[in-house]
Amino acid sequence: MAIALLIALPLLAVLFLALSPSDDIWNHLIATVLGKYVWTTLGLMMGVGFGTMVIGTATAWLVTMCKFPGRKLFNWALLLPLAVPAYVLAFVVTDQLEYAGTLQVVLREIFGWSSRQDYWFPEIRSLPGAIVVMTLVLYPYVYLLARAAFLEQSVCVLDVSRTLGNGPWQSFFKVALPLARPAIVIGMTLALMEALNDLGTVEFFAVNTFTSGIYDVWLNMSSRSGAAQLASVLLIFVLTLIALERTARSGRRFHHTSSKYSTLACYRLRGPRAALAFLVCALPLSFGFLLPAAVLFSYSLNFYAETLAANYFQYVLNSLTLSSIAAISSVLIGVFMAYGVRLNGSPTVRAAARFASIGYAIPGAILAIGVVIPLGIFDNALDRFLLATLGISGGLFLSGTVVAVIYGYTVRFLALSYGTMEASLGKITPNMDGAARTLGHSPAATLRRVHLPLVRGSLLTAGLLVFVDCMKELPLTLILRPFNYDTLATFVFQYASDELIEEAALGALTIVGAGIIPVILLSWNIVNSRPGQNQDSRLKVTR
Amino acid sequence: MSGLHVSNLSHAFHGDDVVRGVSVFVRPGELVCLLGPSGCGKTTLLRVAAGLEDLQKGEVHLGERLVASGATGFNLPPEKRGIGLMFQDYALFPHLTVAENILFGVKPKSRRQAWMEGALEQMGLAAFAETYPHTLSGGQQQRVALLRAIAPEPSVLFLDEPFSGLDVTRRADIRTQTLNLLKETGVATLMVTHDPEEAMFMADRILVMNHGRMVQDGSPDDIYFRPNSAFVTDLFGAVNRWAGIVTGGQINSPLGIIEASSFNEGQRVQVLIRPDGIRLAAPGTQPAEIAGDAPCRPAPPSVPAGSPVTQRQPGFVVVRARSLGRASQVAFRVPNGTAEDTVMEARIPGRFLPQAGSLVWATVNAREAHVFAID
Repeated sequence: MAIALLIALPLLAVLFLALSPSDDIWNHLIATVLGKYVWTTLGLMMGVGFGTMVIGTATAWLVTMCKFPGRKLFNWALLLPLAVPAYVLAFVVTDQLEYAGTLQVVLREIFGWSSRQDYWFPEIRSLPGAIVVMTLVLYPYVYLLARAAFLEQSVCVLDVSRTLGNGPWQSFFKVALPLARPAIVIGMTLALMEALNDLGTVEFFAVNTFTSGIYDVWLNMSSRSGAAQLASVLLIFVLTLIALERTARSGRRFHHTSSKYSTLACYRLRGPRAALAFLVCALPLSFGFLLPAAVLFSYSLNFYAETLAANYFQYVLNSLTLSSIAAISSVLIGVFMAYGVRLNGSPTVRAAARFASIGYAIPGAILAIGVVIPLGIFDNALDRFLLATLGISGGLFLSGTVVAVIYGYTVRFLALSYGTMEASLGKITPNMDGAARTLGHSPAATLRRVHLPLVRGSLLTAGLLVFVDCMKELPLTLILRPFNYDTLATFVFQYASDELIEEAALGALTIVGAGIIPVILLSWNIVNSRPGQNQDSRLKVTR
Repeated sequence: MSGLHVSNLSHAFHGDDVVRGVSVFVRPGELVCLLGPSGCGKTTLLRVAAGLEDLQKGEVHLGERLVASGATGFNLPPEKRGIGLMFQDYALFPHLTVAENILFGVKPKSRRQAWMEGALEQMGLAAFAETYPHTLSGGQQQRVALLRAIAPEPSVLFLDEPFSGLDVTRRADIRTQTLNLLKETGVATLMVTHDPEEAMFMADRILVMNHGRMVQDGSPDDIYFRPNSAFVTDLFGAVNRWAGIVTGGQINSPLGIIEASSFNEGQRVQVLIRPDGIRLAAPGTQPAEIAGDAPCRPAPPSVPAGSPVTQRQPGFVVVRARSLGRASQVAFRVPNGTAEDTVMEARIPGRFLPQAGSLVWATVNAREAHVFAID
């Protein structure tokens, strides 16, 4: 309970600050930028939502229901873009497609154009550009869930549809798609939460979404309450998404119409159709993963010396330290909370745990503000206390230290470890507890001798996932890090923002490399998945 | 003096009373069955007595020791009670071997090592000591779970539906084995089951529960032959029912006169007769007597004028007859004064298969005609 409160504190702080009347920043914001933020954010969400839905659903349908060359490979490879943080892709895309980029140079040479006036080329650093970039790295959320949903669907239902006179296309739109709709919606909400969390891409593209607005108001206007008020508006978007996700989740339960599963009868595709299917799967994979990875790899080969000279190892060490500590603390707290809920399942405890674990849906920029406020209050109180009692100044004890960063990470990613623990503990029958208790073991001994050995695997997975997400995390780190303290993510962001992508390539490649770990875990999960298995644990793993 | 003493226990979940004022006493060496349909509160009673649920009202004593009291809110945690509990799903620890499972609750393990080896030998599991539970069959898992529960030498053993996970063919064997083991250890045992035959076979005493209340407490023989309510009679399978009115301390049923001297004159009652309680014979012959039968007098010949009963003498029309192997199940039509006859079922030992449409004579074993008031 107390821990849940500690974790929920940042959220409560933002809400509190947003509701408390302060400077006239509010009016100022409404007059100037608020409308722009709302429209840009809405546009981004619509674009990314639509894009991920189309790509995710189409690829999922193709690899589950059709047979064409490369299907087995695509089955897991389509997840790879998940390893690429949106800001990394943004840098690479800009680097390649801008005026000085490879593509335009080649085009100019072919057609003999000499300057920008001679031809038209879409502006990369724009809202559509951000939509495309985010869609390319976020569609795997929809893919993953839609794929699971299609696998879960009883083939009998599709067969019935065929016997009732519907062709494959009609069956897809009339039966399979409506049945998979809740899963697709969940996938979309997850992708959108990530899109709202994104700071690197929108900052770099100068797209004015709420997240970038919060960052600007915070750092450039130095207005804490203004940032908090923006954050609270952004929270409305987030809460809408959470509500949407919860609704879709509860709807899922009723979508199993038959318990009969048989091997999926595939549509065998040949000739041009097979080529088309191949292309549909290959395009997002190439642009979302293969191309950026290749570009980063070639830059790394050429410029690794510069990267190393730029203190690369120090950044790696910083990232590793922060991420490991955050992973360990998330897992410890996650275990503690999940077991606490199991022992004492009162509605209050449950609700507290649930509230504490919505951190995953809250954009890092908001959380960062929420972390700074209570820590600042704590520091001031400590300072006053020390001055009064010992006559010395404590200064800023927690704010602006790595403690703040780790606290922020833990709040944001606790849901991962808590969800994983809850899911795997849920698979252990309560009778196990009863058996251990009646055999003379206290609750603590039961946890140690029965539960922990049984969930060891998931524990490790949870820790690993938190670790990797912390490695990738940008907005929280950017706002909370101590002065002059860089992690891989902030290093890449700053170098790339300064058009030094080549020098940052090795760092970006390292982040992508770390990001591949959960993808491997997920593909392993996919290869071993069977219909009827609990999909929710896998879902939480995605986050 | 050890044993289990549960007094006046009541328990509610979210405001719904699940157990209402039930008392249970199990002596050392005694095996008591809680019998009742699912949802009657028997498993809740067991979980509260074991300490897995906090007691709300009443008291639980283990021997002389008070382990839970509703009045003071005292609940000794289950690990301190020195009890054993075997779960319906066995709840074997999947990450431990059979031997580690069995010795999980024993400290130090060496204390019961020899006992365990002997017990595994006796149960035919000696070869599996170092294997993991998922490699065992259901029956083997059941025996491991039982050994695990009794390994720490508990003063009271709780069994929650211990045989329900087994398939029917193996059940009889494992029941016998379990019963032998329990009698050898002499532990006071409280077992929960919804299967009346299982309760009859295992129990020294049966406590029948319904809707959270104790309905009847008695020996298996009592419960079967002297049920105190229609509910208890019904537990053992479908029964034939006949509604009647008490006249002169008895009921005139088409199958004979049934004793009802404990009821008021003119009271409406129902007669419940198990299929095994009816004897049939071909017309003109007497139904075979079976040891222990207490035949009742045949119905009086005087039948109210104009009643269709007169037309069906000398017997009842057979609807269908089926062989069950060691017995035969015969359905026959009994006129009840309305247009629709009552169809009664009789189970006759051996082979008795009259043609459908033919006539049979019937009598009732008075011990198996149970009369209860209609509320």
